[in-house]
Amino acid sequence: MSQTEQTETQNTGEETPQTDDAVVAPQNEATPATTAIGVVLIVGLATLVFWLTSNIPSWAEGTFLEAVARPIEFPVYAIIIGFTFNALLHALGVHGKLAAAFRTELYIKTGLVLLGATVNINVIIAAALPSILQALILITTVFLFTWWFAGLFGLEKQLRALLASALSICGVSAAVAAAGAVQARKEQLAYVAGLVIVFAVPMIFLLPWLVDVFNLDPAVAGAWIGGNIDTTAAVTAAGTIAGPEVLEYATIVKLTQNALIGIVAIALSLYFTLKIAPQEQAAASAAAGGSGEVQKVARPGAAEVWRRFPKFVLGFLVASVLVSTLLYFWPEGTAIGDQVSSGVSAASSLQTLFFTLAFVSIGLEFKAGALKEAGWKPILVFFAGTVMNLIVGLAVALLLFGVVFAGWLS
Amino acid sequence: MSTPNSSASSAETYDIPERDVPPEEQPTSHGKFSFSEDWLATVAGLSILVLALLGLVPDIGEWF
Repeated sequence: MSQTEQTETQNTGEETPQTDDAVVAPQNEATPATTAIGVVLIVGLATLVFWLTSNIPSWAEGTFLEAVARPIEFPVYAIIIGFTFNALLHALGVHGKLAAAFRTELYIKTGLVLLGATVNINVIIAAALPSILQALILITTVFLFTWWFAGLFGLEKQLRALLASALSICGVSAAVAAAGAVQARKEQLAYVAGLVIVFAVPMIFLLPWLVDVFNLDPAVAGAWIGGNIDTTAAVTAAGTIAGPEVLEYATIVKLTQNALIGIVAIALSLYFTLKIAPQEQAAASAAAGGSGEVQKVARPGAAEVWRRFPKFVLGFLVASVLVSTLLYFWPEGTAIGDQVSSGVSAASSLQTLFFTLAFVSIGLEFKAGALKEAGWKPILVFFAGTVMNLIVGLAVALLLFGVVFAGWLS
Repeated sequence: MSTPNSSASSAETYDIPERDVPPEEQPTSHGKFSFSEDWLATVAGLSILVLALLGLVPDIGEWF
């Protein structure tokens, strides 16, 4: 690079020339008014998603779509509606003016903090050892297997983290938390969220049928279903088919797994901060230098680790501890306990709203090229991870709920 | 880019920076998540939760 070019780079602080931005900006620049319109639009679209999610199952009753309609959760409608309006806004030439309102990250992380309020540590403690042990064994095994298998196909590490988290923990919420922790691309999150829901639907029927075929005890069946199916709606549907006792065990196991989102998000963040980010930085520096010489980047210190730490996980944990503490001292049935439960219900609804806003935003900013880049390989990885989850999940459920702790929760 | 003998003119030359303006500070950079909105989201989320626990926020789930 010549001295003049270096000076220009230093002066601008950017490598891309300003002139392109100067040509584009005036026509497409957001203003407070257009941002406000964008907010109204996105809230309106989220409301439409809520309305569809609530009504489509009842519209589908009595039709061949009935069994499928209920487990199709809000992310699917949100992404489709967002994607539709993405095309519409671009066609009208107003997308750029409204884009400042499409704050995917803010919506998702706020929703994750509210999600913490639904994790009642007291329930987990009451469910105790078998559920916690199953969750730890299953999450570790399925996460590591999926991570490794995805690596065989050369998938980006961030996408590997999303797939592994979604499969091993609890579907969309886990993928969302992982996305924030490892700085995944938003299209990757949309892809994984779609896979979760698509794979959850057949599992609703497959697992109850296999429970019958294998003649499983309700506790084992519930533990298997709760540990395998990735969305809460699908777990509820499958448990309902299999029987009320199965549903009870499945719900407890699912709640226990959900509670580990925060811990996995922290672990992923530390791993990516301490190991992956320095590697990527060194590789990027080498590529930018053109010398092929890999720049050694020092292992991040405590300050850097803290800077990269996903603070929203702290919010998740604080929310969980706050609600759990309140319900410990004032259980449901007391005036304060009922107030707290009511507040948690309101917070849970708002969590869904924020996630809906986030997925609508993802649809509104969707770039299909990112998905084309990922291709079909994530589908294969998700399939392999699902099979592993089924096999290991059954083995662990049989061992813990059928043998070692048989009758524990009855 | 880096010069072979950069030490004499390190104040003027611009070696390969160990850290550029971190892309993770730019929320929309390459469509990736970043760290810039974490604190805002944490404060917003906890504030909403407290308001909900105090009964000052309606349960919008009952509206649909």
